Amino acid sequence: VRNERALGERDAALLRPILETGPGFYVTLSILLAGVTIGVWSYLYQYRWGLGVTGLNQPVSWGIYVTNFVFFIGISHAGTLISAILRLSQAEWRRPITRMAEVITVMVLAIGAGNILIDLGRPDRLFNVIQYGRYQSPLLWDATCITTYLTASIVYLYIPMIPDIAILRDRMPRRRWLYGTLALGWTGTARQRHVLERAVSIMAILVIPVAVSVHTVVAFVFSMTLQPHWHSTIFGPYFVVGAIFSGLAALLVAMVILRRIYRLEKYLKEIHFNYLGMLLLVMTLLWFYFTFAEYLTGFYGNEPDEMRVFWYKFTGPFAPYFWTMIVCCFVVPFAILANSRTRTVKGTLIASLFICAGMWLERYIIVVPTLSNPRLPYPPGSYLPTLVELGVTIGCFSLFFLFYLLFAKLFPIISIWEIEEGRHEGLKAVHQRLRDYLPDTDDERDMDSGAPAPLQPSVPDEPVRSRPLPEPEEEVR
Amino acid sequence: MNRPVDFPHPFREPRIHWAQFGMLILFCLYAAGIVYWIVHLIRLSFELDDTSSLSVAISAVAVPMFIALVAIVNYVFWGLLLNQNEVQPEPDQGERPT
Repeated sequence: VRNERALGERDAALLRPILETGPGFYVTLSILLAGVTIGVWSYLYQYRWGLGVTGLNQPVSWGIYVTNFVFFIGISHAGTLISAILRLSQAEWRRPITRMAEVITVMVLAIGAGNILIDLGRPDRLFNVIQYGRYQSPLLWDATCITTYLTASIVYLYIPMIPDIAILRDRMPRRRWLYGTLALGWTGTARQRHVLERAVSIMAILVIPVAVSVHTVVAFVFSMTLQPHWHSTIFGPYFVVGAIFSGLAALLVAMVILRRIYRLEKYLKEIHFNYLGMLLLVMTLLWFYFTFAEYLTGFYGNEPDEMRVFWYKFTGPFAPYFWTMIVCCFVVPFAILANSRTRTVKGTLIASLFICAGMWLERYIIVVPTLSNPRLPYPPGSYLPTLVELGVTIGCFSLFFLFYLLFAKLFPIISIWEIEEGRHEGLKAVHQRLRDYLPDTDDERDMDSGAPAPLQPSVPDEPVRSRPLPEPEEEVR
Repeated sequence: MNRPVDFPHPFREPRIHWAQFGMLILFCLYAAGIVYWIVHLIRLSFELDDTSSLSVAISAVAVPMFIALVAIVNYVFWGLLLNQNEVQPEPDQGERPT
């Protein structure tokens, strides 16, 4: 317990948002509650009068709600997937980032799934799915996958939080009941640490296939139909790439905001933004590659139904959305992130905001244009979201920020114990790993074989690598 | 900044003790409910001869996943609660005296 308290003292900045509440918190809370109220009112209005108050119609029966659903589920990949990959690859720079990413996952998954309930019009029909659901439908695959992913994400968020909750339990007697319960008697013994680390490692491995499956199955909802621009074999991986892309962007936006509000510059350094910016650049290129492949294949096939939707997007009523998406998801991020001078905190924020907007538009132009051009001999449909749908959307985004704000008020948004672990064991591990990566020097080979060490090589200015690496303790000091 | 406060250890408080057990039971019931739902849908698909192979395939992934989650949560729960009284390890060498 003493150790945990000492950790808390050293990283007091991480506990400050929980222990101190400024006026900014209440102002933000009020604004977000107002947004949520707009959403709730809009939904109640829709519940009272039915889906007729939305812009949904025949043949465009999916609109902004399904767009939100796909967008939010996509963003959920920020967290668990990125956090798990960085954890498994032992990327030491992950330590201040993982918790923020994992929280995003849990929040947006719940909100994304909620959008499907809103789209149902009559939420009581959910019981039909529970009682009479048929696994013939990809929608039910989706329900199963999302439930699994949400549960796994909550467990994956909670387990690494336990040592930090114990710090709060020891510091905040007023909330002892909450923290005492959630801390599960954590005292930081060697055995407890072993249990925790083992569980986190297993969860990191488990959660990656589940995360990939979720967005693949979301893509299957579209691609298993025979609709133009939906029926595509690469839709699964295309959606997964888009999900990681938008998830990274959302994570970067959250990092910049939290860094600014909670003064976390000491933890979220330029280098974190630089590394994530490079990762985002790779995803930008990957996204463009998949988009190009998807549209080129349709264009080359030149089937009338495909081409109708194709031109609808390229030069028709959806052209403004399509070209804005290209600018937001490729032109601007590529221009900013490919240049190391603009790959700064501000630069990555601008690129990420553009990507988030662009990816929402991408989901929109996947859903709506195809339904607007039915294969059956009906005239093309049109869709324009109403104020009710916009109100619900505002409510969803406000709810996400509200959940995030409340989480940051109750729990440390950066993992304190993982930072502390990085200071000691992480440094040692990196040191050891570097020694393993580099070719053995003559000294080390001779030490291994038991032979006496030879004289130093007589090349004076070459051997940075032949010098022994500094001990981690020296680096700390 | 609040200073650390000394108070009775939470695990010795029966209310917290029971709340922790309640949390575990709730999670296990939730997981059991999901597994039951999936099994119910498989049974239904067999009864109606309706894509039973697909139902079995999906449940073959989802059900073990929930069982694994229950196992991990139980492992952490019991692993932490039963090992809180071990002798504290010495502080790391890297930790400087304050």
